[in-house]
Amino acid sequence: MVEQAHNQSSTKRPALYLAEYDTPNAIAKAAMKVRDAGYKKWDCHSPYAMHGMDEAMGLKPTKIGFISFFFGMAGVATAVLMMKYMNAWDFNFLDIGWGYPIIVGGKPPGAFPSMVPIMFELGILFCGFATLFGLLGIIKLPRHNHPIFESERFEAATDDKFFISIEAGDPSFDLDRTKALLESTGPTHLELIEEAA
Amino acid sequence: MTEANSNTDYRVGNDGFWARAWVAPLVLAGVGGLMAALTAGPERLGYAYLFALFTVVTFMLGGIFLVLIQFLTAAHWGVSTRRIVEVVMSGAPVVALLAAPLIFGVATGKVPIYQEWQGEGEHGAHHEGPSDEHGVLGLAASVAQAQGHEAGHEGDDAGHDEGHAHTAQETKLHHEVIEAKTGYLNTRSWTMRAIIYLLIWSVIALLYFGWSRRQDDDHDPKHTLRMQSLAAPLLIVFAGTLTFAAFDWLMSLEPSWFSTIFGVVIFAGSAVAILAATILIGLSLYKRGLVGEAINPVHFHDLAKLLFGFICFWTYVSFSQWMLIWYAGIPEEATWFHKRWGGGWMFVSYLLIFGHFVAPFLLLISRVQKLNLRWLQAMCLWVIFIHAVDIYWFVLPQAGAFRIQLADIGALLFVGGVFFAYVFWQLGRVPLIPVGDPRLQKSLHHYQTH
Repeated sequence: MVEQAHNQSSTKRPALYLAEYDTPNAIAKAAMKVRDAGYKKWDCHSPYAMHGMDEAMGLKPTKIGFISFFFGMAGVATAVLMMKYMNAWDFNFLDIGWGYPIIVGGKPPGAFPSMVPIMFELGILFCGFATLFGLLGIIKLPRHNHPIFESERFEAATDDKFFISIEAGDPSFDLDRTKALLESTGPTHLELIEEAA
Repeated sequence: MTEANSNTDYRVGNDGFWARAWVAPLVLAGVGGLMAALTAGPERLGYAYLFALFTVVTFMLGGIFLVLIQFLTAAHWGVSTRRIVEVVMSGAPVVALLAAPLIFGVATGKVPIYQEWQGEGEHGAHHEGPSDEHGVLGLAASVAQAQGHEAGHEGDDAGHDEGHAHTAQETKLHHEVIEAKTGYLNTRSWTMRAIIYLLIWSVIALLYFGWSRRQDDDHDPKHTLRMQSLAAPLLIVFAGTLTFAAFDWLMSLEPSWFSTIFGVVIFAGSAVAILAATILIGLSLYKRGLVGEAINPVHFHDLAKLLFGFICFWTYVSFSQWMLIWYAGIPEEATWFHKRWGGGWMFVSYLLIFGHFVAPFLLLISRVQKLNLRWLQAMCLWVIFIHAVDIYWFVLPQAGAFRIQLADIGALLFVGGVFFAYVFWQLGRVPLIPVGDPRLQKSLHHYQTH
């Protein structure tokens, strides 16, 4: 597959620059340079989580907290409406008589305390799903492939090397200027990865 | 990071505020002590003192918990803030001293707050038969009055209570329930257990504080290993003593009532108290530059996350306890909450729901809120206040209708003042972070920003 792709060089276009570094310090300094150059579609790859990289990359706080909170509260509201509808409200729809207030344990129909466990459970459920799927949406997963895996050197990203990738889709991306910027950060290796057009 | 280390020896030294910080609580303690002693009789003073003492006990117990759990999990995130917790924990002997008058008063019958079960032994001897009515319960008259709603009654509305005489049957049943517990609830064993709890807490606190202090000098990891291996069994001892102390000191105010989760509720409150206190003390040290970057906003963020978690945990167990009793609606269980729903206490109950859960939940949930140190400081002050209200709500409804007295505030000032005077004085004597801990370096480089 890879060999085939390489052969059809005429239909290729640049996908990203991949710069390789040996030390966490080097990549942190390089990341600050890329950040200050105003790139948006770029990423750092390291074998382990590096403290302080958020700041070095200038990442904004994630929105996942807001998504979780909003959906958690939506779950709570859903539980209230559901319990009120199922246990408390007495209403007549087209003379069919849909409402069916239920008295349990001598408590009034739809007593608030008896709803709290359901509010808690649905709040957690909605919050959990929203967190999972919101996260998948934000990080754009699942996807089948990414041009970065064309690089054989990139396998070391899970071993002992550190990488910065700048994608061609970035508005500031320019074959020469981006290359010059990355070279100025002193990478041990720099390559342009192409993908099929 | 290393530059910051050499700038400071992590001691209070001549800092204008912390070198003399212990004076203020001591003055407050003196004022409060006078205020309490002059304005209340032995019974009300007993309730007020119990409230004040147990509030301080929760800080100390929370400290023991936080230290033990960090050793148990071999945590490095909290090493640099551990000294503050250790100092609060090391106040256990001070708590024991402060508890001495109360224990003495209860043991000699001079403080009649536990009269309902203390009197039960004599009651069996002097008043036999089902003819007993209101006045001959063998209790202090005041306690009988406080027991507006006796266990074993139908759940009357407050308005009906005055005309409601106890039937002979009800009185007899009530006494049988309490009498069955006198094997556990009697003055002699209550006193002995109280002394044992305080002894165990003091030993744990002094051992761990002592080892940690010795490690400051010799930097020997063997202390860490020893504290680590003892943490698990001691946590079991801690859980047992906390639970039974809560039973003995708070739950037995209403001896016919029982709740198995009671100790867990108290534990949740203890964790909330110590986390808020640690953040407050740490923030002050940090802002005055006494700890360099050894304690930094990331540590406060971590503590705030735990604080938020334990506030939710407190809500979870408190609500569980309440809902099961509400749902079953059995008079002997409901009586305890019934007392906290009438006589002016309903406001306090709602204050706890909104002040101990809803407000802190919404005001501490976001990362932005937790990382805003001024905001966090205000929230911690509020949480400590509402924690005291929580303990107040456990104790004082047993004394009758809701009426804050000078004695309550005075007792809290006295006990809290003496305790925190010790804590602040001790902070001035020791390094503010455990400088000999082998995990300290990891904690110092703990600046992960999420």
